[in-house]
Amino acid sequence: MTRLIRTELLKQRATRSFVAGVVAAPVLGAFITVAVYGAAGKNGNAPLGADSFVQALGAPASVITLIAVVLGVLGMAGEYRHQTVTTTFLATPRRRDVVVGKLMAHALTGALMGLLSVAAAAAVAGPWLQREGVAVVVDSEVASIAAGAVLSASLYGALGVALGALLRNQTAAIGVVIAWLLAVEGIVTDVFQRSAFVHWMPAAAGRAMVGAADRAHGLSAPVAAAVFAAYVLAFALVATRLTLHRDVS
Amino acid sequence: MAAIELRNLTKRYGSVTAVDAVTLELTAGTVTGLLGPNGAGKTTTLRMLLGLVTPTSGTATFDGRCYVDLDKPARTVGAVLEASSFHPGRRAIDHLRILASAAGLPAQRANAALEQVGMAEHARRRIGGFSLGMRQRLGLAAALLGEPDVLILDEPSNGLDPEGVHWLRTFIRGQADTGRTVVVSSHLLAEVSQTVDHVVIMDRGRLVTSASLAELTTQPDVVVRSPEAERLRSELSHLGIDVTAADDVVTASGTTPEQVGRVIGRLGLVVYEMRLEQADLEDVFFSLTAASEGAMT
Repeated sequence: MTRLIRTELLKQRATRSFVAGVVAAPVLGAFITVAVYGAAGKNGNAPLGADSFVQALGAPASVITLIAVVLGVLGMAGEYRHQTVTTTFLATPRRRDVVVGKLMAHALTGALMGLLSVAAAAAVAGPWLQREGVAVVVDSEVASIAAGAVLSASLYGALGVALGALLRNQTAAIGVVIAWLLAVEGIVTDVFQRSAFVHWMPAAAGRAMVGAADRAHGLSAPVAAAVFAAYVLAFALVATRLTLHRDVS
Repeated sequence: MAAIELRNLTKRYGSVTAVDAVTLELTAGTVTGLLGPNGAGKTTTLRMLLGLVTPTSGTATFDGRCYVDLDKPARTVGAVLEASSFHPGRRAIDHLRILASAAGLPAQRANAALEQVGMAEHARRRIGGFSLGMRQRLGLAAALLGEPDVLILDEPSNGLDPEGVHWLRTFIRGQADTGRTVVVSSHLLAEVSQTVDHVVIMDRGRLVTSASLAELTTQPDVVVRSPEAERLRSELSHLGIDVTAADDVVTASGTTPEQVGRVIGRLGLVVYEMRLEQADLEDVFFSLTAASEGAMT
């Protein structure tokens, strides 16, 4: 399995879109922090305060997770698009190992992107807050948000692989992801806003991991992580099963 | 034991039977041409052999083992199934290193395989800028990564220019000379006839014949041009020789120029021309597939 994970990471390094995605993570982490802090105290925005550091760490998560899930889709559905799935399955005829290797490799890449974005955000936010005279406290909440940002990017990366394996068409898979994240779940949440189940939906659980959900009614970060991981596992199991039995023609 | 063995291999897609109970043995160390028109079932057969398509029934094995059960498949079988199995944004060397890594082969094999197909100077180029011929060579390099005993090439000359076809022919013979078993599918009969030892012909999913090239094309016809063609035809027919006549030309099959010559001498016929006409693979192919078509109707 280590060999297959290494192979998948090699594929990512050899593909420009993946390299660009990973490089973009710290750039976005820093840029979003600059944008948020630069606007603080202006045009009705709250001024920088005790919560600003933890907000900076969690703010890039929505963008980073979107990139991670798209890269996951490209990593799996791209094999079908470019027909490299033929050579991939010839080199590794045990298809389950291929899918598991991809899931793990993209989870690692997502985690790296999350880590880089959090580190970049912290590197900008810390000195900025000190300059503004706001104390930076590294407490359990900071640790939780940072861990949530890393874990959510990791799980979204794996989710992308599972969706790519399910749908095989990368445009369709990316469309489904964006439609769900930007429209479908929002509409369902609006319609059933008084129901508890909306907090258990995938995007809501993803946001709760980085403290960006409804704190009063939403899931706690550990529960949210477990729920989101369960979604990823369910999709991954179905995707693996389908991949085993589909003809490659 | 046969290097490749198919037993009642069948694939159905709904009501369509793409491959129909094909049973076949291919001996190690031969170059086999898998021939048939488009839609004959060649590609589906090869994909079932390689574990990419699940047979509806039957088995396809290498030395008794299915492809997915091989310990090190890349060291046993190398395959080129289509000219476009590449990520266009990757460099040639990276494509091969990825496959080498997946197959558990040393990374150095990527450079060696590129050199084998004459592509070493293009190692750092991105595949998106490659011509079809270069992609075919890169595909062959990928197939050679594990230095396999068996090479399977599906329509490898598709889209190649004459120089590329010549290179490919030399390449295939070179691989056979190293003792490899090579299976090359094609619908370009004339091109394959110069390369193969053994011929398998498929038509509409069925195996039409499996024989050596010599068996299929042996015993040339004796063709005689004479103003007394009808007398000659009548006499040869009387002797039980399979013979046809058209205008002043008599074509006798299953006989020798010596036997025909003696008949001509005995009858004292005037002869303008006498020659041997070797039926080429294309003739054999069309006669066999026509017979297959007739048998089905």
